[in-house]
Amino acid sequence: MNRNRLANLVLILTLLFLIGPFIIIFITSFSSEVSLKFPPQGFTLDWFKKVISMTMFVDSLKLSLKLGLVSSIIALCLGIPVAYITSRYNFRGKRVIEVITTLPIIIPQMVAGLVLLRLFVLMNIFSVEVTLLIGHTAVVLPYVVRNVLSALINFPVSVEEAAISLGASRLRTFFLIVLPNIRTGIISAFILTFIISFNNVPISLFLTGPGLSTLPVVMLTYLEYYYNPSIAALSTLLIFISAFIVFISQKLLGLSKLM
Amino acid sequence: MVKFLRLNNISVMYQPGQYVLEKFNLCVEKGKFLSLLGPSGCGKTTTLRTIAGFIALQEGTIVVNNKIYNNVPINKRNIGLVFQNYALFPHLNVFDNVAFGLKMRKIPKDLIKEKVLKVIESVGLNGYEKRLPAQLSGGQQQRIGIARAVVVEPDLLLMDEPLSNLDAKLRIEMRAEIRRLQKKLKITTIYVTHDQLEAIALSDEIAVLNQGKIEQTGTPEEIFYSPKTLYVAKFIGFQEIVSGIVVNELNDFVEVSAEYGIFKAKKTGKVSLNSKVSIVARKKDFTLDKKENTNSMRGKIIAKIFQGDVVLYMVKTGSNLVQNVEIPLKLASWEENEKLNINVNPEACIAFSEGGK
Ligand SMILES: Nc1ncnc2c1ncn2[C@@H]1O[C@H](COP(=O)(O)OP(=O)(O)OP(=O)(O)O)[C@@H](O)[C@H]1O
Ligand SMILES: [Mg+2]
Repeated sequence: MNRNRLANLVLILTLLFLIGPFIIIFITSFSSEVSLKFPPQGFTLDWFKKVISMTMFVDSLKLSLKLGLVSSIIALCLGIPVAYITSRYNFRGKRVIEVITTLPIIIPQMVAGLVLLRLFVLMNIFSVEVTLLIGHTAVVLPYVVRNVLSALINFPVSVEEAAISLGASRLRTFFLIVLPNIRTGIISAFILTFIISFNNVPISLFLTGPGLSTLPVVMLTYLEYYYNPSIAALSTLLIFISAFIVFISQKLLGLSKLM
Repeated sequence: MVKFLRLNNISVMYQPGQYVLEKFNLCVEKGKFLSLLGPSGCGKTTTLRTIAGFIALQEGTIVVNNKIYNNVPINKRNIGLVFQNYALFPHLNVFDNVAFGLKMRKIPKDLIKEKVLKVIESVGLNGYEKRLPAQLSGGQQQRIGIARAVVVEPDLLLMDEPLSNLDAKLRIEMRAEIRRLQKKLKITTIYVTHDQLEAIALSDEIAVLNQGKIEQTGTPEEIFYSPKTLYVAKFIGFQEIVSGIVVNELNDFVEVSAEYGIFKAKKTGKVSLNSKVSIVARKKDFTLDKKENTNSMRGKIIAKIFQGDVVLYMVKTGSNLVQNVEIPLKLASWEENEKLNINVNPEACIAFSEGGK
């Protein structure tokens, strides 16, 4: 009995710890005061109206969404073949490829951002947008490789061999047999990479500036100057967008498992 | 008779210098069923995968239907593979699983449908076309695995222990089905198994493997009753009873001076006067008796194990050796600790020369 109560207490504390900050942000975003305060006074939807009318936020949101989408897609296109080849073949240099594709997890992203800035932007090789895309793709690539690898490890090679023995080329086997069976791994890799890119600050920090910036960076700079509930309103919106994305993809995943 | 499949002197190694198959020769006639029989690790799967093309040859040639297969890509070889773990396509239903090979061969849709339904019917799973593999039992999955392999009318059907994931009763049912289907379709088949009874029940011919080499090939009768080497004999259920020196030769038989006196046994290959031999027999060919007969050993019963319609006696003979003796239930009146004679008919004994085959 006693032990049960203790367990319950731990559970409640954990939940509070996890969703407490969100509740505070959620409530503050309706506050009619001009500075962030808790508990808030009054009730208004003005902060939401303000946030969606500010071009600064809307433009950077668009950039962040685009960046998340494109870098995730590129990372999938690169990561799936890499994962497939390293899981199914033995060849010289296999270790090198494995290290290169997982290195970005180890290198401090701030350093990587700085290097990208000096290398590409300051030397006028790529535009800021392209450089951002390169940086984000590199950051999310390891997550694709790992997710897809674990999906591939659970998929028996004999199933592929069956397809080949029945007359399919290796390429057709990959598209007709392997890909449909690692679909779940690919979709979850995509969700993960999208969210990682969307929330990324360190890589973007050096590469962005006035006029072209990602949403998290804009929010950070905004917070330095204005300490009002609009940022809470924006956060509330973002949380609902993320929850929506996760909800939709779980629906898709659930359905794809049944089909 | 021209051989349909010929493996000429093939050698395979996974690591340099370590032969898994060494100078390997094997022939199969068209439409015949050959089993590769041998213990774990002897190279059965390697042989099968080499024929299929998944493993490269170090030397030798594979000839199928007078065509050299060495450089033919796997997907152009026209083979059917059946796996121990079924290896069905998890995302395709039964119909599409079976249809896969036909689609790859660009056969018209109506014809595909006709062929697929026919073969699904012949493995007794009509009505299951829309099911996913995960919604089938193991036995049903393997039926579909077999249907998927034979529907393309392969030149060769290669099966690697297809029944070893199934329970004993189903295994025996499926044996009969595989044999019936193979005879009906007349597909040249190579079947890998470590189960001697399975090989005997299914095959036209059996090749017994020992560490990457063929020890003996022959019909099931030849392998079962006339093993040519001690290794084959032991593998198909003979046990060593005595060893001794040949003191007399009489037509097909030899007399051997052994620990328990003179033993008479059928002779094989290199057995000759004065050579040292081992004599083997099957446990069901022994009888227990107080009297002494031609081939007789004294012993003491150390265990009596009821096995349904037979009783297994473990009898300790002189030199710390234990013989397993199988006696029909009706005759099993002996009890533990009784001292008696194990007798065995010379017809049921085979002598193999020891050392150097
Ligand atoms: N991929 C591999 N790399 C290295 N050695 C291997 C490989 N596959 C098999 N071997 C070795 O080759 C030998 C033959 O293996 P194989 O799988 O052909 O045996 P098997 O007769 O099919 O045995 P089982 O009845 O256990 O399936 C074994 O000694 C095994 O250790
Ligand atoms: Mg094997």
